Amino acid sequence: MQRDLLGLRQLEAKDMELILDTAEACKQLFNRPVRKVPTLRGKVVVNLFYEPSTRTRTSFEMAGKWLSADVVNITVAASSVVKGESLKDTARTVQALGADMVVIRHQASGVPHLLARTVDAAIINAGDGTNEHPTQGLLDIFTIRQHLGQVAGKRVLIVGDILHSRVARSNIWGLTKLGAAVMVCGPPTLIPVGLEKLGVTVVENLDEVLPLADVVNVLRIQLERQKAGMFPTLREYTRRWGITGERLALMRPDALLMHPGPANLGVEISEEATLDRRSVIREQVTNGVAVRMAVLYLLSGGERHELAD
Amino acid sequence: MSLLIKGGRVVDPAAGLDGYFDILVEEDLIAGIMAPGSEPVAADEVYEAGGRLVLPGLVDLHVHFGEPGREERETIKSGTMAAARGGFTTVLMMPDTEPPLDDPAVLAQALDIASRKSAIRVLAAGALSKELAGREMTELAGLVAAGATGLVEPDRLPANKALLRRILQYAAPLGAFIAVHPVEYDLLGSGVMHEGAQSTAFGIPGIPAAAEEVAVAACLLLIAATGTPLHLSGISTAGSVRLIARAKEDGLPVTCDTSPYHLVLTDEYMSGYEASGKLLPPLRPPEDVAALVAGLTDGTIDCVATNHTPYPPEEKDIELDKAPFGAVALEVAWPLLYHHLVREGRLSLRRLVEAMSAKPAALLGLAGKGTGTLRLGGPADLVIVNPEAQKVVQPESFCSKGRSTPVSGRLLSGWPEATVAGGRLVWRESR
Repeated sequence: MQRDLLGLRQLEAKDMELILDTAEACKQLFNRPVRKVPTLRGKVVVNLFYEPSTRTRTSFEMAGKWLSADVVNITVAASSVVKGESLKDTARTVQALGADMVVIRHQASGVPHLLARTVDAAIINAGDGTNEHPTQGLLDIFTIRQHLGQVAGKRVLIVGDILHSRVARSNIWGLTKLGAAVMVCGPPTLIPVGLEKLGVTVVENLDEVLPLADVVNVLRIQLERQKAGMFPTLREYTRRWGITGERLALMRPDALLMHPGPANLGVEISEEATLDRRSVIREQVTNGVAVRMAVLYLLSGGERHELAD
Repeated sequence: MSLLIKGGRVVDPAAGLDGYFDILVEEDLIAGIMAPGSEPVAADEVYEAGGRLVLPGLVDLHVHFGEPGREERETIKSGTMAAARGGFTTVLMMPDTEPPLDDPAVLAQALDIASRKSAIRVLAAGALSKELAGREMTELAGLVAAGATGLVEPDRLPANKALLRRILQYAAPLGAFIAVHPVEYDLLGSGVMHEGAQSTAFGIPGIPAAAEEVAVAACLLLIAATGTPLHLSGISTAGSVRLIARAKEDGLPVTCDTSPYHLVLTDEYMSGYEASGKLLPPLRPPEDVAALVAGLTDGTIDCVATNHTPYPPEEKDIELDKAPFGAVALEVAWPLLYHHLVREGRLSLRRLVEAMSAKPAALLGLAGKGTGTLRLGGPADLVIVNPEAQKVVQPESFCSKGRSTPVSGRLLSGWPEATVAGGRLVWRESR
């Protein structure tokens, strides 16, 4: 296992499998009467968040707590950035506080890599700019594996803003390494240049590929993208790329419908779709805790069998 | 005061020299170029240059210093020491100081500081637009009268093309070197690196090649419309090379340069998310780098300019989105290109010397005075290079106040060993 989790681009398939297998063991703990295990007692996990994120932060916090780590949340307000507090200075402060692991969310791509060069603590990327959100990618893959048995050979369709989506990028790296066939569909202005070189198929017509997909992963559309002129109106976006009732009917009966949340209901996905029996959106949230427990555990130097009993 | 540089291989394309000569410097002039076996001459000091290359002092028409106003970036003293160490004896300082060199009095003041603090020849470029804002023309004639060698708008092309056209019309009779940096700001957006397969893989906001090529095309059309010679600074794509090659075939008075980093490094460098690779123009894919080397070889690209851009580490070595564009280059430009282009057989030594001395000197209108070449009675500006010297790039030892370079830690060969500017030994590596 590597020292840091910076992205799935840097992670080998076997390490990904190790995390996923460990997450299975973690998920078993959820059914116990007492969920908390003493595995990370005395370890300090710092959640260092430069962007607001209730979901990911809470998920890491719960994962840490169920492993008995001491979890500290630092939300860096825009004010201290304005005051000129530098990232490296903050990182060194966190280090001096005795952090064993730092979970970092930042608006700029590559900040976890910068931190990993600056501090000794293990760095876990919880979303960096438009680059990666590896634990989200892992939890999506985990959810697919749980439902479909395996990832290899499955057709996964990712719909929406691929250009700015770190969720999409982590999914693409992880899924292609594990042998899935990844297709993407979205506004041409939001499809990054040269995506095919990552082994991804770019499709133009959503309705033609929906019936082929084993998994449909719908990305959140940031409403400011419309204001930036990436597409004309939200109405047109929904009409062309929204997962609506009609599009649900095009999906295979045994397909999985996923969304990293939080969803703009009625824009990229209808409420009806989120409640469809093929939707695993709420399960993704639970699986997120299991995957993050596995990551914290493995990066703290643990082995899988220790956790299982 | 006289200095005899003995036994070196003199390579001076402008003078048609490539051979072993002794060079005698008296005061600030070259007093003798003597074939081996000539009658011995006496000199106050003798520099044994056996096994060394003796070249005309390098000329750089694109450096950013910080004086006046941003001395923490670079003073004229630190910047010219960096230049001297890198083998440069003439540099053209960009006008993006604080205040900018957009006013004749400020420019004259900057030149005055330079004349007192600099070991080498520092020329100044006046701004084309007031406050470099791209809205109003500066007193272009006043700037030239105050001593500006060039009139330049660094970092971006004026968005207002009507202004650019009028500048070209108005400045034509002034005879100054006029340069713009072909970057179209709307297309640059919030990009950090070249937009392509690598930016997609690394998840870093991209800068499309069109951000440069649209600007290049606009400039070429305005050159055609006005007939005014214009220099395009820092071109970096195969598309730009093609556009400029065609314009030159058509006889347009266009010239251009590219930077040492763009001739060697590719966008793959950004894989580590290090701000040291955040340059403008951005580092490009291998096919663009190959087109730049080909363009430099065949003369489509006239010369090399470093675009030396220093920042204090706390300003540069930060998050990619906030870090400014640019890197220091004066102290690594020559060995980087010598090592990767000349030694690897991709560019002739003769062409590299020309592209870093005679050619930029000619663009700045200095060729008639003997800058960029070694000739009897010409200025004694020269650099002595040890082609065998191998050394790792160590930014902490730079004379420049800037430390950020994408070639930090790289082993290079062919380092300058001594630099003579105006007849004085302004830099000598300790042996």
